[in-house]
Parts: sequence; structure tokens; C-alpha cells
Amino acid sequence: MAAHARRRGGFTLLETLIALTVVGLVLGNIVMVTRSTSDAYDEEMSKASLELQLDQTLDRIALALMAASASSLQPLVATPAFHSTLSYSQSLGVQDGVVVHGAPERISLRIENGEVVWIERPDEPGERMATWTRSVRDFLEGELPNGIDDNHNGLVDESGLSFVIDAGLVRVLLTLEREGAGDRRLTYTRESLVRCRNS
Amino acid sequence: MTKRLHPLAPCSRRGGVLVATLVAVLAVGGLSVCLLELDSTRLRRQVASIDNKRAFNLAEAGLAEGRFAVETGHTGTIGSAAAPARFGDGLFWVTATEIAPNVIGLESTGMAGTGRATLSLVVRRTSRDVAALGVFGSQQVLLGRRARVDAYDSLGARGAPKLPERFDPTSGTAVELRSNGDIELSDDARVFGDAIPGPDGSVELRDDALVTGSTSPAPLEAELAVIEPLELPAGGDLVHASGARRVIAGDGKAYGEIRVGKNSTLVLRGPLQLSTARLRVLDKGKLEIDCASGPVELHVTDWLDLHDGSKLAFPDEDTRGLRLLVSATGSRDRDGDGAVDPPVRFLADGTFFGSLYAPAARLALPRGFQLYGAAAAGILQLDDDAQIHFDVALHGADPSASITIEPLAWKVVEIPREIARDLGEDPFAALDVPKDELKPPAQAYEAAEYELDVKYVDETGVERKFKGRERDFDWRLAKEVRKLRRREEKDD
Repeated sequence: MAAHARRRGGFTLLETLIALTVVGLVLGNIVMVTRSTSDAYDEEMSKASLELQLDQTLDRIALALMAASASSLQPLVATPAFHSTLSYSQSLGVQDGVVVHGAPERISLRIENGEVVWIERPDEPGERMATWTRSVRDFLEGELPNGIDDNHNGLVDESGLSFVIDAGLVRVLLTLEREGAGDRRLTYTRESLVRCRNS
Repeated sequence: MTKRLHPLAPCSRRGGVLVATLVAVLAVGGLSVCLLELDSTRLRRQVASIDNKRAFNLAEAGLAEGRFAVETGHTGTIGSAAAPARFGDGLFWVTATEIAPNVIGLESTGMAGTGRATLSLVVRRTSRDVAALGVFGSQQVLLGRRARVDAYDSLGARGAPKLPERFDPTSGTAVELRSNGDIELSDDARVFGDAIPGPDGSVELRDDALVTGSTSPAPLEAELAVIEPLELPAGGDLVHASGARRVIAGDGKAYGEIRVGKNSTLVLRGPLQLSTARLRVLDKGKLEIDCASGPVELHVTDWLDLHDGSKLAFPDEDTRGLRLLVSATGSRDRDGDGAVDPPVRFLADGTFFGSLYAPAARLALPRGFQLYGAAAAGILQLDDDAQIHFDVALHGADPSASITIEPLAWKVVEIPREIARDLGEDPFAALDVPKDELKPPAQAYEAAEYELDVKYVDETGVERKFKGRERDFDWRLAKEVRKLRRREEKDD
């Protein structure tokens, strides 16, 4: 009995080595799968978040410009010139039969910070400012500062936020760029054509 | 007795693997739940963004529908929060408010999924109908001494023609005398109704001048419609100076000049459309409008010259019988006598029945002249004792006049509180309305209990008429409204 109990009290070295190897392999695989899944998830999340951020910013800009009066757009330089800053006034409605316009507003790209900012009453005492998004690229996707239309969109060296005005229509182009998983750069670009609803 | 091949582990180790497995499963499960939660949050945000866009588009669709409703003569209200219009997977309703005369505010709320959006649009309704302007002088209205402006309804209570000779102006229909500038009334001049100057204009009343209604300025300037030229075959010059009576009827022509000489009578017999660069009726010449069989539309593009002593005759005394449209503008020597001639010289005797529209000219009605119908001009002047009797029956009587809608202000507004409380995924449940019982937009126009008299153009371009209860009329048939009269339904 004592001999039998002793025989069952441990593993042989071979058994232990095999077991450790198998466990190591399994754990290694699990770690690899987990890591790659996690990386993929992080990347997808980053992409989705950047896309969502891009869509929401563009929607916000579009909504602001829809309510703007076309005659208030400044600078009012016709296509193919582009601007990274656009000033406008929104229509607030009709009071006593007269169309009432709101305070001047401005949507602007701050290249140094890569931010799109919205400013109410710019350069006036009651100035109010909000950052609508960050991670804006210096130049639009595919564009290089070389005096050539690299991305073939009709604009030369256009900035990461560009407004193109054409008879009450405003074309808005926006590129966001951010570092994704594994030092990869995620870049997304959207374009929207907005008609000012007020003349 | 059987022998266990794998004897039991010691008590202290029993269930260890199970516990370890359980911990591992719980850890993986927890991680999965976290990931799922993150993912569903992201998905919810994306779906909410899409729903908001859909709701925005629905609200835009509501505004477009409301605008069309106003254009086709409705109030602009479509459905309500209690009974919205169903559109696709969502719904919308539009509330219309009359902000000022012919200025309508539309507020449209769209709901789709969890999305909610409310938009506002203010529109101005304008009509190419001369009568829609009332009695109008774009730059100025000047009333001489004892001049009078009032209104009446030539159709009367039973639709029979009625002249205003015996009507009591103080108890009758009120006129709207309008201008985009100032209105000046000389001594003893009378306006039986409102005198409405432009937004920056004023009403000046000299001694004993009277306006029975309001003199408040209009909130917005009225716009004068451009006269659309008639496309007619050229007819050369028509000079009638034989002393006899000559009738023009049938197919219209575009004349260079129509001139009626001394003791001559020219009859324009309707239905007739005529265009002439110059219409001149010389001293003792007579221009007669015979509209017993149909109306006469006369366009004058360069010069309307009715000499002192000329006569206008309207045997039918029907204000709907003549539309005189004068697009002439600018003063210059038109007859080569070295003197400058205005685009309109109106010195005829008699009484005028019809609509007179000269948006770019000064129209001065001579002393004692009477005009029944409607008049609109660049400057409208009534010399001493002249009178204008505006006929309210002319509203909507112009077959070529259509309603146009001009957008004034669009903006995004806050969604109503009652719907902001419930942002559930089903807008029908949120409003507690049965989805299947809701009407599509075209059938959700505000229910109106009116007697309708409408002349419209259907989608094939054919002009049609409808007279009867508004609820019996299918507005989807009308692609363009040319005439519209609404009267409240009588119970009897």
C-alpha cells in the first residue's frame, strides 16, 4: 500500500515537461489571439470613432451653413478658390415682418492645433468659442504642399478643412487623421455639399 | 468490488480545476460583455446619428409639403402631434401660423427611430393677380381733394352684378389702399378702409381727410409682378380714323400702334387678347370694351395715350371684362413734337371697369374720373374728385395669375417638449398613435370646412374647375392654382 501511494504522489519529469510544453503552447496561442483581437478591436474602434467624429463635425458644419444666409458668407470668392475660414450670419426668423439675422459666426481651421473651431461674434467683446473637432490634417487627404492638385479635386494645396463657395452652395471638405494601433495612421475624408436655405 | 482506475485526488485539491475554469470563463465572459457593451454603445451612437438625419429629412419633407400646401391655397398645416402624417418609416406634422398678411410661418417636426428634428420656415405668399394688391401705388399714392377710394363686391350676395352707386361705404366692404412708400390725402379725401404705407412710409392726412381703417405701415414691401409678354402674330399698325365704328374680335394680334381718331369708335370684343406698343385714343375718339362674350386682355408696351376728350365705354359694366396691362416705362418724346411724353397719359372721360396695371409708370386719374375694379401703378394719383371703387370680386378672378411662394427665413428650432421626453425607438409608440391609421401627407392637410371655387391646372396641363366643398376636392390633382375663392360653409 505504501509503495502504491508513493507511486501516485507525483509526475515523472517527462510528464511534467510535456504538460508544461502543452500548457505553454496553449497559453501562447491564447495570448496571441487575444492580442491580435484586441489590436484589431482597438483599430476598428479608432476607425469607427474617427469616422463618427468626422461625420458629426461635418453634420454640425452643414447644419450651421444651412441656416446661414447666402449673402452673408464671407469671404465670398467663387470656386475654384477655397477657404479654411468661413464667416456667416444665420437667420433667426421674421419679426415685425423683417427678417432678423443673428450675430456673426465663423467656422475656422486652426492649423497649429489641428482644430476646427466655431466662434460667435469673432473679434468682438462678447466673443464665444467652441472646438468642434481635433485631429484635422494640415492638408486634405492626398494633397501635398507643392502647388499641384495632387488629389484631383480641382483645388490646389487645400487645407484639411476647406470651403468652396459656388452660388449659394458651399462644398465642405474635411480630413481627420489620427494614430491608430501599431503606429498606423488612420485618415478619413468626407465631402458635403450644403445649400444655404436663406438668401 | 471494482477498483477505480483513477483514484480520487486528495480532498484539498477536489474542484480546483472547476474553480480555475470557472474563473477563466468568468474573466473571458466579463471581457466579452465589456467589448459588447462598448461596441453596442458605438452602434447606438451611429444609429442615433442616422435616425437624427432621417428625422431631419422628414422635417424637411414636411416643410416642402407645407410650402406646397400654401401654394395650392391651403393653410399649410399638415397633421398634428395627435394625428401626424405617415411618411416612410417615420412621421411628421407641420404647424402653420399667419405671422402677417401673406407671411406664413411653418414649423415642421419629423420623427424617425430615436431621431427627432424640428425646422422652421417663414414664407411669403405673392400672387400675380392685380387685385391681390388692392389699390396700389408702388412708390407713392396721392389723393387729390375730395378723392375717394372704397370697395364693393360686384357679385353681391347672390352673385348678381351690383354697382356701388347706392352702397354705404361706411358699412360696406373695406378697401386696402397700399403703397411701398407714402400715402398722401389732400383736403377732404376719403379712404373707406385701410391706408397701408410701406415699411418706412407714412400716411399724411391734410385738412378733413379721412381714413376709416388702419394707417399702420406694412411689415414688408409688396412685390409687383413682371408682365409676361403675349406671344401673338404681328398685325402692323391699326389706325382707325374713318369716323365709323370698327370691331376687333377673334384671334388677337400684336400691333405696333392702335390709334383711334376723332369721332371714331373702336370696339374690342372679347374674348380677345391684344398687344400693342402704343395705344392712342385721340380727342373725341372712343374705345369701347365689349365683354359680353368674354374678357379682353390688352397689353401696352410703350405708350398709353388717352387724350383729353377721349372716351372709354364699358356697356357691360363688368370689372372682370378688361385687363389693361401697361409695361411702358420712362418719359421721352414719343410723338416727335419735341415735348417729353410720359409712358401713361390718362385723360379720358367716362368710367373705367376692369383691372389696370402699370407697375413702372405714374397713373394719374383725371378730375372726376371713376374706376371700378383694381388699379396698381408705380405712382398712383387721383386728381380732385376722382374715385376708385375696388371690386373684391376680382380676388382670384385673373385666370393667368398664379400664387408663388417666396422663402424668407429657415432655421432649426428646438423640438417640442412633449416629444423630447420620450426618445424611444418607435415614434408611433412615443406619440401613442396607430401607425396603420395615419394618413399620408397629401391627405393630412388641415381639414377645412370651406366652400371652394378653384380653377387649377392638372398634371396634364389642362385647366379645370371645381366648385363645392373643400373636403370633396382632391388637392393632389392641382399642379397649379389659377383661381381660388374660399367661403366658410353655411350650416343651412
